Amino acid sequence: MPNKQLGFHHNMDLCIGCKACQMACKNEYELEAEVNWRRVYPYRENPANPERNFLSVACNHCENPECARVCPVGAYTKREDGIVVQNHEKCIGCRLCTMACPYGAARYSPKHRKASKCELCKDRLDQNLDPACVAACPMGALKLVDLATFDSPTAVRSVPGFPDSDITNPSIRFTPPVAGRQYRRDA
Amino acid sequence: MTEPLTTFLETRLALWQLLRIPYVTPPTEDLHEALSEAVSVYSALTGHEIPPLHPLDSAGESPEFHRLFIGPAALVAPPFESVYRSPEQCLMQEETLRVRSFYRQHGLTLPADLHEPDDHLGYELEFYTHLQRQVIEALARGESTQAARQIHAQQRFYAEHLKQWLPAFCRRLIDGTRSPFYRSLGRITRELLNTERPVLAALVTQIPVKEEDAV
Amino acid sequence: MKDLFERVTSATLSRRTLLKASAAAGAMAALSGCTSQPGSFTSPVVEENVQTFRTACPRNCYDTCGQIATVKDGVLRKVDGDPLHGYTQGRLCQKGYTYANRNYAPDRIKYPMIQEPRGSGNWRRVSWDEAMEIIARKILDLKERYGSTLPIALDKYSGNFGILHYGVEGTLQSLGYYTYALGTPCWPAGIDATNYDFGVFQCDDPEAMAKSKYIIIWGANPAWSAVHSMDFIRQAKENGAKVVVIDPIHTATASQADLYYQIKTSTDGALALGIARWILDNDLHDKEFLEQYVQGWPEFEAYLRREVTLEWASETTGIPVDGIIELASGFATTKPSLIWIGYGMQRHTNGGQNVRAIDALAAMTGQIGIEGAGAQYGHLVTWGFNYHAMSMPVPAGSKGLPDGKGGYSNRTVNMNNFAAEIQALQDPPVKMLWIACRNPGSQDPDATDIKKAFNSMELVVVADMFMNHSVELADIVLPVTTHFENWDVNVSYWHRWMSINEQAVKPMFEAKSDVAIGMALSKKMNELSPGSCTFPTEGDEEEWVGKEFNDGIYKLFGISDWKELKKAPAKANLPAAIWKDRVFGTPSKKFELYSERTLANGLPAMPVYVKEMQAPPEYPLRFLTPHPQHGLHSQFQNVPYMMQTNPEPLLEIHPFLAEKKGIKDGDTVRVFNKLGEVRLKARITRVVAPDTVVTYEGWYANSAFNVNHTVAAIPADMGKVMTGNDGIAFHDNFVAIERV
Repeated sequence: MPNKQLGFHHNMDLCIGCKACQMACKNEYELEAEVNWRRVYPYRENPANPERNFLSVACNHCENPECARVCPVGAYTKREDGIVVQNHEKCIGCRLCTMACPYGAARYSPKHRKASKCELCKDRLDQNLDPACVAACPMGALKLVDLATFDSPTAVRSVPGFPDSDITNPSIRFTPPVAGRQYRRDA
Repeated sequence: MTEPLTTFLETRLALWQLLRIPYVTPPTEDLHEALSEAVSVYSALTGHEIPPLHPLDSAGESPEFHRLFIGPAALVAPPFESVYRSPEQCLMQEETLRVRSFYRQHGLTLPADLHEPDDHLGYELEFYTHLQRQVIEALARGESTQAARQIHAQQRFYAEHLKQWLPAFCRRLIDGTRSPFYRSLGRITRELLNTERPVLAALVTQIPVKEEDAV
Repeated sequence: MKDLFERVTSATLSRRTLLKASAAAGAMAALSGCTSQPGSFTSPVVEENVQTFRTACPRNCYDTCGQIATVKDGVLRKVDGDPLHGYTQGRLCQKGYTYANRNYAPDRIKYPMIQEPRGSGNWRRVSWDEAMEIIARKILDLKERYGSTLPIALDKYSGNFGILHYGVEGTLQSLGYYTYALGTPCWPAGIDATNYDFGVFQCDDPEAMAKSKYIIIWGANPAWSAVHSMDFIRQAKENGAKVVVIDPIHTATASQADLYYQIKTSTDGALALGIARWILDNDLHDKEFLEQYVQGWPEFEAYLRREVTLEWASETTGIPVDGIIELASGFATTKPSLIWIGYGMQRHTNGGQNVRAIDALAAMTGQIGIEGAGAQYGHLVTWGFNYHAMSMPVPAGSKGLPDGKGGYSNRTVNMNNFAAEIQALQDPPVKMLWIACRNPGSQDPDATDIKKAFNSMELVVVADMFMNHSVELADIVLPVTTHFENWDVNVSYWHRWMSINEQAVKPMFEAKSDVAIGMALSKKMNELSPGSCTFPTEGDEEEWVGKEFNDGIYKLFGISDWKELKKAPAKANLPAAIWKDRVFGTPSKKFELYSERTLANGLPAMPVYVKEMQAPPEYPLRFLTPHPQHGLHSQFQNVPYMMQTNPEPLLEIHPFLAEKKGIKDGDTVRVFNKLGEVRLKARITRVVAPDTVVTYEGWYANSAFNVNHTVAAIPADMGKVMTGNDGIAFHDNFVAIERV
């Protein structure tokens, strides 16, 4: 276990899919319309108990980051605190990272012909601020955690539909959505 | 300054000044005549093939001019550098401020009561032609070093700004316009951009610089 | 050639002499833009030539967020939440985070423009002077021909709810007596209902929701349209509260609930009455409260016993009896219990009645005047400004509608039946439209008739920020400022906070605020005809904000100077539970289950059930078009950030219905009724009921999408008492569908 591994705790039970996190990140870094460092996806609907659930994923700052492994110019490095950062100058736009990352963290810009991704708001962290997505979430469904010490009885490493975590060991924990009871009219 | 050089510089200046006009106001028949003339003269002087200017629509080009560059609907070819270069494709981005800074370094600024992006094509071309005029005036005063500086400034402005976005802008214009006139204007602009680098490089060799004044 | 050249270039340059030497050019420091290399991603760090301003989101939204605008070198660089705003707590929403972007959208309307002919798409730029001249001449012409300015009609509402934007009404009034769209499309049935029951249009502090132990969100979807409110509900849940959502659609809010009821649309009153009956049968009503503070309990009790059974309620609502019992039991025994009555819920022909029935539940259980309890709908208690911008006198000698007392008044048309009424007016007819803070081309029912109404005008003026379906129908469009480009003050109809809106940047291009437009018009009017317009021809907007404040506002908010708002938003000093004294504003001073004031309006005195509108046989499906997540009506969706996030509208359709119609996910579906049609891509989902199809209203850039081709201007049952006209039953829209 590393000394420090920063990552996200995503409480899907609290997530209302409002996309404030996705948009706050774009607002923070003045990203292109097409480049989403954080993405909110509709989560699978359970036919037996249909709800609107959501999954919010940015970069999982993996223990074994695929992006770093495949990058031909060594643009990615993993810091002491676990954050995987990119030297954007080095990027040659080969897109291998976008293909290798199981979570779609690396995003390609057709305009700039380079890839980029979430860097866990490292500069905000230096100013003792939460990552922009965490700060923007109206439900507190995103939290910055140190997986070296994070301990929550309800949090799990993965949820159905989330790519297999054995290869990369992503630094993300989920609290899965718990469905309420429903009185419906489609029996 | 030599007669051929003067003629060349003045023709080039006239051409760029005229080229700018249909990007800031609907073209008139007079403009069309003058611009066509300038294109063919410049073409002959440079030996570079520049496409011809298509006649104006008999009903006028005003609706299309507005549709392309002004609004109120979504612009077909937004004439602002930052739209093509900034990630957010918005106005007033980093590029705009760099253009503003470039103008300031040459003692120019937009009037204080004009709240428009400095990187509008009209302003950039006005600035570019200003630099061109500076060359002519400096040479007329016998200040060849100053003239060389102004050419160098044009090279910088061309490389750092015009070349960075006008090709994409011309693409949008050529693909999106309904007007054969504006399509031909886009093609002419694109070609002119292509000729600028060799032209500027040639001008640098033609204008002597005293060793101690070298930039 | 030289002659020609000079002629051509001098003509242009004199129009656009753009650059002039700056005397201080030498002293100007190079901009520090070079700290940011292209493609280098760093967070904005606080730098020297940076200023921050307090602004407030002026949209028609419960949350009315406090914002901080960061400006560097006169350019708006970032918009973030104001951490000192107690309700929105430093956060914006998905739409709010696009604001910095939106302010500098290349597609913003930049100059006054004229379309000739109207609807042709042939636009040309004109100067403000020219635009004002055309408008002023038309106003004077109409005044001359008809003897008054009544032929001029204003349609204005909530595109910008900043107080200074009532300067639009002020502008029109300053011309003379005029015709205006009276009413509100969104929420009037519920307002009247609240007024009949409580006597005053007010509600508890929504921050008190955190103290509730049983929250019913009834026909509201705060997860999409009041995002910051979810925090208080979450707090309540954390403290053990149960959350119930009642909604025909399983919304994102419903997915946060412990219990969800997929009620048959528009039958909410029946459910409330079923609950009431159960509470009565189980002796759980608060007899003391009913005795002391409620008028009409014996009559209502008799009605319940006579006409309401759980079986009937179940039959009507589609909810099983045990479901009703669970809800009734939870609400009646878990206290404090609270109901958030949504605006979507009352957009029906029986909407107002249904709100009254729900209010009755709070009265029956004595859950009024207690923090964390009650039936909450909305309020306007923090809106007591001077409306100085609005209060302009008419010019001397103005004539209008005779008021029967020797004087004159303005003339109104029903905002909720605008197209039809505008066209029908006579003596005098309406010949000119002024549209501001509103987009009837997109948002009004019966889009076809709106187009007809616009086309019948001699002059249509639209003041707006982006091209939309109303601008398409205009003769003149006037570019308006964003709220970062003007001064204002903002409050909410839900929470109790007030925010200043400081001007952060200069207006882009030639945009003007609505107040500045009024000043420009007045100047031109008085030039052409002295005394024809009383609107000031100049003024400082910041000063105008100051003029809106009075002792009442100062006392309510506990401030002594409005400039204090520049340091932080202020909160109204009111009891969290607004009815804690249990003194109501009704004639009886009690909560009126039996209200005589309804009778004059042809309404039942009690919250009896009024049958929901039935689907005609040829259009058997209900087409719900509630509020979108990605836009606020026709705003935001067109911004590239949003078009990328939500590129196209989808039709939510249940798999049973889809199968019946041979529709697969992604198929194009035609949704139609006798009024018109809309075509949408299908999204198969079980979050809607099999007898209902759903899409979200709004406007997409470069799209003809408009649900209002199917929505007729059917009136809701209430609204005219408090807002001048009844509401619109938007959700009583019946259609048929077919695969295309």
